Amino acid sequence: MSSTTSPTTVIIQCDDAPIPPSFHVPEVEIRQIRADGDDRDLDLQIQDLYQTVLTQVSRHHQDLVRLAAYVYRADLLVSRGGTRDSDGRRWKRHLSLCVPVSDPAFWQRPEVMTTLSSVLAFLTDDTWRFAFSPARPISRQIHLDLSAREVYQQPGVVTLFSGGIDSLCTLLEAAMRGERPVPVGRPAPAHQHRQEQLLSAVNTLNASWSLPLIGIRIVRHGPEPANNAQRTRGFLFGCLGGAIAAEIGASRVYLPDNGPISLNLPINDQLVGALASRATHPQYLHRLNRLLRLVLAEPVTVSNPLRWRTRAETLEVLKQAQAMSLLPLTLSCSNWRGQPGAKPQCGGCSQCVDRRVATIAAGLERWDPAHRYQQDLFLDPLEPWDRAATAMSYVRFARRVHAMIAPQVLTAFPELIDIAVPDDPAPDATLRNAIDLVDRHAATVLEVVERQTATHLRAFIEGRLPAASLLARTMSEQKGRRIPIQTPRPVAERVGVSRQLAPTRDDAPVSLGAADIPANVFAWTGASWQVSYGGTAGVLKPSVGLTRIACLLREPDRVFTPEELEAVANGRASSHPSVAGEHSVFRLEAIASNEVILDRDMLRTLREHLEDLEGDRVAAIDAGDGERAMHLHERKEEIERYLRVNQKLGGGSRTIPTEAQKHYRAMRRSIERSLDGVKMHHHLLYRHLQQSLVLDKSFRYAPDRGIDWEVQLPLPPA
Amino acid sequence: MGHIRLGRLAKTHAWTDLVALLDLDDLEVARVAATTTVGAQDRLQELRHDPVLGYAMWLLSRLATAARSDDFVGNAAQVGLRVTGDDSALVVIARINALMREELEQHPASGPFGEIASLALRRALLETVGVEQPSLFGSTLSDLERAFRQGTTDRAFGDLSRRFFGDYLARTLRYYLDKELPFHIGPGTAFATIEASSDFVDDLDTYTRQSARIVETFASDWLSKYTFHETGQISREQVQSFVATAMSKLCAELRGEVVA
Repeated sequence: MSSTTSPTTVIIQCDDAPIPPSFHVPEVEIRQIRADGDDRDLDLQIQDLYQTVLTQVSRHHQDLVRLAAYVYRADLLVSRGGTRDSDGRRWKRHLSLCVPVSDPAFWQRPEVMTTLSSVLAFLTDDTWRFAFSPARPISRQIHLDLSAREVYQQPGVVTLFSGGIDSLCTLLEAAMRGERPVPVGRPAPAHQHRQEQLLSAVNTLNASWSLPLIGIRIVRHGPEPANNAQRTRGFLFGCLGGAIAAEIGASRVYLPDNGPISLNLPINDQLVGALASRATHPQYLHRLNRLLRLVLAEPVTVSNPLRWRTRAETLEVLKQAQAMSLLPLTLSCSNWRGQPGAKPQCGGCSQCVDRRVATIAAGLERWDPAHRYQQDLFLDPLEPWDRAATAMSYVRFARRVHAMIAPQVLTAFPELIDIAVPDDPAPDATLRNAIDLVDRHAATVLEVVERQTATHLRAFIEGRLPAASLLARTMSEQKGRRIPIQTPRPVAERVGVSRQLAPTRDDAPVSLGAADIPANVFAWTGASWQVSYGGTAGVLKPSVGLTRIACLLREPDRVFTPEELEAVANGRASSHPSVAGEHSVFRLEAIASNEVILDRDMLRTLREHLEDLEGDRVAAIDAGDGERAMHLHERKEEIERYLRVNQKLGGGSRTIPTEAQKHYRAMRRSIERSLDGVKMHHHLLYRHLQQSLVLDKSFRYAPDRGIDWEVQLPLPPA
Repeated sequence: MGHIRLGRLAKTHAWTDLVALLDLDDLEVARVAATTTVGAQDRLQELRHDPVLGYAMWLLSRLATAARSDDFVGNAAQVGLRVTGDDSALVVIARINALMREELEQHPASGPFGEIASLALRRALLETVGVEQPSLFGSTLSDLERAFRQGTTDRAFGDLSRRFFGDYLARTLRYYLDKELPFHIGPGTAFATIEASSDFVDDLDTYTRQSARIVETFASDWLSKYTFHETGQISREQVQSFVATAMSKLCAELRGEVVA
């Protein structure tokens, strides 16, 4: 009998803040964080690299910043389990922080505590509890560089600046729009020069507002962190940005991430909850803003200006500013430590994969060439294991999303429901826009893969592409080897699975004596297929494809629809599509299954209709009929969205396979795969079947001469 | 930003069987489902009593019965759901999700499976609305109520249970499988292409959801034994007990055992 494992539960005492009795449970671990004193393991410094200083910081703002730093440090202190924690028992933690603050009465208000815990819960998947106590006077001060003062001239927005593509484009766009942005960054020493170059370049492009970078240094002392997931980084930077904005009189904070990264839908099915980071997720930002409204002395709103753009679309900002040359100075990699300057990107982390695809899609490969990555995403063997999984999951996700219509995307990824926050005035539209965004991203990914495939096809054909490369895994000539689903059998062997699954590599066919070889046999023996053709016998391993072939052989020249063949192979008299599955019950899916290819005629018709709609809309505006004009505008948007979904970037049409098409393809693949097996064991039979089987929309065995087959099908399940 | 954390399967005997299975030429969905279920059986055994899973099913049950009453808004409020007649179906589902998330955040011991229960709840609701409406978008609260009222009470509950548990187990199997599947894609492996692996996972999903039919009948029978529908109240304890049995049945079905 298994036992339930409790989550990791830790009390974290910050700078000797007292632990309340309610926190104590037997055998709970207590850890320490020190931000003060010689034995401190955390240094938080807000520096102004341009010699501007913040003084007389509001005490709630100071508390917020220190709290965020403690939370961040606590996050790093407590392990979330290793990569082999396949049950996910240690991912979620129960963390109780004892924190010294200047105003405990404020922080202990139920509304503040609840909101704070709620922000962190969504961001991190952990359960957080807090106990606040009066801080010692010395610990109230944030370490500041005392330098000459300079007054900010009505800053408009604080924008977090990491030196990556998204933060650069956000800063550039804000500067060009006259928003008077104040970048806040955390330059690691190795990259400070790079960031300074970027800021200098942006300053040059926009001389009306000099960008005063506020640098943040967070220094950890002591051993390496037990947890590198760092899900609380988003909280740290959100709080820092909010506090700084409130201090300098800016009303907005930008946390930039392109839309698909912000939503971070699971590209791999093990990425449940915060295993895919949520640092700029709309739900997180909504909760963070609730907290900041309670804490900050001035109203500040944190938002993500790139939430509706893919990364490729974000890169358009560089083009518009004629600033493509800045691209090599940006850094997106999560494994940047220790990388050489000439190859600063690892090429295999999720950020690198997304960056590489986006820069190709945006036509900016010249400024972000493959040789600046340690590993070529498309051509090199994908190593180690996590990079292989990331790259393949990334492409697979794109394929999956792009094959669906909007309701299917929502049902397949109900994570999207989380973006519908309570104060959203149009949540349905928000969800539709999000699905459209994800689909645009998917389309971009697939087009880049297609282009790379076309470019390197010769290398693949000539065998020069490593089998472990991404492109080789998208364009292998071999057919997939799998058996489509079977109706669950009510009875199965009750033996240990391990014994059943011992791989058998003995593929040698059973030889029969020449006198015993019957002509033209395709018979199920209960454990394998006994075949005989052209005087040669053989044994084939069981597969559903062979059952289907046997059904065809039994009735030469009969045309089977996929449903009929499925039914006969399963021993049923009536047809019953088994691939569609019970979940395909949406009426809209039925409509989608009837959707035809968006052909040229239909495209032309839709475009003409769009022009008519525009004409009518303008006429409605002229006539003062705002309501009709809005209705026409919405209708136009609907059609334009439909066109985006159904067209490739180059304007070609995209197909959505119908359920019948999918069924047919699955059946055909099963037969073709089985033929691969036949080829290995009975070449003569293989050639005959290859010439005689007709697998074009329907299925038929059409030998060029009459052949009598002795066919024995498996008995249908009881 | 945009960080993901991938993991691998533990090096246990059971998971080694799955890895070996994925190396075979002819891959049967049923065998993969069975092997994965066996590999995860300790965790699945615990999850029979998972409070988050129980809460999700309880919430679904109470909302289904509320929809069949004359006062959905009033009855929904009893479980903490605040809605108005003007709310769209997606807004209602978002609010239900918010309730679920509050519960989820109180039970870290559920691990990722608490989130999976929450996703299964959302999907069951989306599918329920989707059956009746040409488009999820623009559907109203009335549409959601109408969808819940289809069929008899017992049959509707059975259908809902099938959807919910089918999705829960489908996601759970995929959660484990995807820790290993990407390493069996490519020339000379079980899945020659990424597309082939995708198709297989789709088939596994379908298979798992079809297997959940075993829960449908059980759920209908279970509901008919109770008289709670006279009072409109299903207790969390009752539902937790139901969940434990439903999970046992479905896991046994996936393992290919004879189910009593």
